[in-house]
Amino acid sequence: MSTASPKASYNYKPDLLGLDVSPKQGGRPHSNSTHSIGSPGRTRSNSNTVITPIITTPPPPHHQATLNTRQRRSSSIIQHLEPDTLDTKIDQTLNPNVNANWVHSKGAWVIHVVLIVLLKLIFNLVSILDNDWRWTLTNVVYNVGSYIMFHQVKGTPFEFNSGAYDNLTMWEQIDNGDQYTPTKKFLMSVPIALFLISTHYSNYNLNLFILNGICCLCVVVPKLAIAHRLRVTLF
Amino acid sequence: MASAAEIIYTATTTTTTTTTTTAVVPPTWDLVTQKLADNFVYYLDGLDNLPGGQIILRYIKSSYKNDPVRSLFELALFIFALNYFLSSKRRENKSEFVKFSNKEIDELVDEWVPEPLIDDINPYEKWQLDAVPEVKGHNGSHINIDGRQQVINLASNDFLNLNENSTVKEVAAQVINTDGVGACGPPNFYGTQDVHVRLEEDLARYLDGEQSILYGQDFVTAGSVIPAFLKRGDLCVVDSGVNLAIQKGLILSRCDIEWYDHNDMIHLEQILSEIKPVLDRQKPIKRRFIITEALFANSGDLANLKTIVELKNQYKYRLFLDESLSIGTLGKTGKGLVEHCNIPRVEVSISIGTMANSFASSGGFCVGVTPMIHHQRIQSIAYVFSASLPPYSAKVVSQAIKEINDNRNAEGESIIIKSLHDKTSYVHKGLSKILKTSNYFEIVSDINSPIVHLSLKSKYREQLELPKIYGNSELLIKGKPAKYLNPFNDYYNFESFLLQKVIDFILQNSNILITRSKNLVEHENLPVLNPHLLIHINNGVNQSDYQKLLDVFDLAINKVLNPINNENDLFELTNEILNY
Repeated sequence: MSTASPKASYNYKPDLLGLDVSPKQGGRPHSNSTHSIGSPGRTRSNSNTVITPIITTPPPPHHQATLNTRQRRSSSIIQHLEPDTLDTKIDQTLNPNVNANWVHSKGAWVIHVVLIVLLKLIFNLVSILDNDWRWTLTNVVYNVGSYIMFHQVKGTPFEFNSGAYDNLTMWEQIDNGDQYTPTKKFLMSVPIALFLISTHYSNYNLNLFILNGICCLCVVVPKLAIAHRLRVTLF
Repeated sequence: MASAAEIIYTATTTTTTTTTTTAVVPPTWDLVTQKLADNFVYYLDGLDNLPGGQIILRYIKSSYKNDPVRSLFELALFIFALNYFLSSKRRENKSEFVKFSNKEIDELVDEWVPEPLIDDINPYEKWQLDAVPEVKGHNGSHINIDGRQQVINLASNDFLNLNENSTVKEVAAQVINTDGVGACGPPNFYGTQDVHVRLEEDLARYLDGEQSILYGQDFVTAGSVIPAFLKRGDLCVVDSGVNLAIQKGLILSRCDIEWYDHNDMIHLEQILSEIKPVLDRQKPIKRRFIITEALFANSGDLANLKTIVELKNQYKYRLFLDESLSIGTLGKTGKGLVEHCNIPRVEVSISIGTMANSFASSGGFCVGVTPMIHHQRIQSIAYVFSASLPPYSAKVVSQAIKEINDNRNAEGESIIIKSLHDKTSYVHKGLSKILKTSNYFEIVSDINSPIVHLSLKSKYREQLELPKIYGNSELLIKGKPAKYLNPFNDYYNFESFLLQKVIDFILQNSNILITRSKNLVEHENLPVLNPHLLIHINNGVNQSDYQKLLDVFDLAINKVLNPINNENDLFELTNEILNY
């Protein structure tokens, strides 16, 4: 992204090549000449940082496995995921993330309301439950379902991004991790609205109220911006 | 809003205190709360007059179950939701975007000079192009190259000389007459014809696998099969001497790579036991493979399959074996290293191979257990998206397998393979006899390898101050390919040129064409071995012709290498290189 021209990375000057033809005493005449560092277009990346010649040393025999250091697990219960490497980010952008993109469509918004209404109607049919329990079950079932879908399952069921999303929950994949987007606002408001409405239409005793309240918080807290890429490992 | 919460609280406390006011003289605090409560109720009543206010009022009244904490909780939740709703969008990857003004963009566009599509040839490397022999006419064990007739071709991978087999030619012509020259599409669409299905059955039966799958091109086979099974987070333990196709496949798959020293079983076991505790903790279990080549294309030695199989069973890995060079050359009936080591094929989860070497055709294949093959039919990129093998190529391989497998002698050995083995050991023995006293060359390949690798002796290389190894070892140590290409290496160029001089001498004096290993050191990701002189044994060449090679070989190396005694002599070659 620097403004200098890529030409600057050329170390290859054909007119200089003739200079080193004759052998010189004590030495390795070519090893210090300009062309031995790199020929045109011979960098793998577009950046034009100064190329340091790699000195060829044979790798140490019986070197240690690198996996030990690469995947060291922290002992704390709460930890942040490491930021994605450049390779991972490139893989993420190679193909649209079909696992997370459907939540933006109208039908995906409406289905939340439809599912909640259906749940309530189904529980209404169960005559042994009183009204408080019907609302509680509607609330709990919706919240458990959405928790599993948005915050429990990681990765994608499709193989489009070479596993670049394997460590992320669906909530973290939506809008590529951006916060406070319209979809996220809607999805956040659904469990809260459901909770407020249910307390209105029912006559909860304290226990049911606490159950509903905690259940609601369980899906609200993971959606917060501070919970982004946060992992809680209890066991 | 925060004050409203306070007011609710005070309003509720008043309801409890009002009942006791008759008995006790109200303290000033109670008076204040009373006042506040009255005000709050007044304001709430005021809501009544606003549009929609009645609904809010009704909601507050019905949800307030004589418990201020509940109302407080609900209010807090509501305020939070409102706050969330009103927050503006925040990008997560903000820091990575660089904003340019239009002027800056124009400047950048003006400054940009496209790199040439093809670089000028470095004058020091130009000889490599000129040294490529051009075959005129038919390719086989005896060829015509620029002005030379009937040159003995010991530079071809067609070890069994099935290219010149009359039945194979006949079958190819027949299929071209009936089916044409192309398969017209990828295998999953129109590209699969009867000959392809028959060949898959033939290969599976011949190599004792459950099923097999065909690929249109052999170099992409590894690069397609490996990513089909391994992805980010999976692990493979790989021999550090594997060929370029496997290296590319590994980089493509993004899996974690552990390299063990080439053919070093102690190091392999050390690595496996070192990473075992990490893998034991892993949940869910990731896929893990040991990847190696059967007959190494770079160094000509055989993998120690017996120990590898023991280790992979002990540590619970799957084995991926590239049998490109070993199938059709090793084992009694040419079934590869597996037959050579007397190990059942089921121990190898995935074997890949090429049909362009011993089978005298083109394309690649993969043999394995049924689910492994089935997975590739929809997951392997080259199978799904690339054109299928031409039908005549498929038929030729079926015929080649027949030629190898059906004609056997009394001991159950394939006649054609036996003849190749005899010639290989004849050349190998003859050369080792010649080179025993030589200062310059030694045989580095395995005695069973149909490609004899000859390397400059390390003592002589030290004398010329040639480096032990070329390229870089970044991929080996860091697990990631180096960011930059390797610099042009003069010493590699000189060493290759010395070998080329030997090749030219042999061609001129005895009409035999041999070859040398060719690597683009600039593009290599792993350390590169010093260039080798290669003698490809060909079944179509007589023993007397091999004797001719042995006769001239000693003379050739002495003639070429006698004048080169130190580093300066190497650089004296520069003019010769420029004028090649």
